[in-house]
Amino acid sequence: MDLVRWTNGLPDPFTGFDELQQEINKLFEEATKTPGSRGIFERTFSPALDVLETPDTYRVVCDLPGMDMDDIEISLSSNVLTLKGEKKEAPKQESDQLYREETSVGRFQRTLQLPLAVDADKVSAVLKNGVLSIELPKRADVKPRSITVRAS
Amino acid sequence: MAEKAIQQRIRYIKPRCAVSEAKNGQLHVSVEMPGVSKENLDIKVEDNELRILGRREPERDEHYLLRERPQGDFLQTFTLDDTVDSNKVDAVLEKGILKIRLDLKEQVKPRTIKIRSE
Repeated sequence: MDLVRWTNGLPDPFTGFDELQQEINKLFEEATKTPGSRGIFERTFSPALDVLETPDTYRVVCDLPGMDMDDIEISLSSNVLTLKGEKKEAPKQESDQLYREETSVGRFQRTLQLPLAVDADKVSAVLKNGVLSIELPKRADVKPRSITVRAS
Repeated sequence: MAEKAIQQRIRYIKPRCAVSEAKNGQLHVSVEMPGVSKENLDIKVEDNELRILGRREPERDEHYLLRERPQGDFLQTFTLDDTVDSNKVDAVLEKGILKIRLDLKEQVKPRTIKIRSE
């Protein structure tokens, strides 16, 4: 039985270099972008996060494939958002022969500080296709407002 | 051919995957594809190549404060050997994980031979 990773299928001599470059970049990106399992939290991995800003909201997007909403805990204290949870291992048969495993299981925790305070009562979260999306509206009283200058 | 080569130069994300073999010879491939819906998933078996392409809706041009998630579409390809029955590929997408089950061809399946006592 032989299931090998297909590279590109074309006799393109640069494909190999491309892939190598990509793999090396990935290595560095993963080591520098997300905290991994380092830090004071009890965690085995760190899911990748995106934070987007619109004039009225922040949106935090997180890749959490294979997880249910019950596995995820979202907490907020003023402008510090904490995401934590546990990804449970899929039940495996004893007799299964594992060839490759790149997926991670275990606990995770990410904490991030948002630039402005958000309205905790209006926070909403959706988990769809393994992507968690949290919508955090900015608090009206902390929103920057522009002041018009009158000529005297 | 050249056109194909150019097309293939598009950078795809290689999704994380796990491959295991059950005792009956069935292969289980699970591929993490967060953000890919069933409609945007394309699984093909061509010759002896299993090609999994997962397209994601591109983000609207918004202001990013932090960007750690890889952007783009997922592509993973595997070569299959002759023992896999390409007509019996079963795929399920659940919670952002694609689970593919590959069956062996009837004639290569392991079978136990019962011994009759005379």
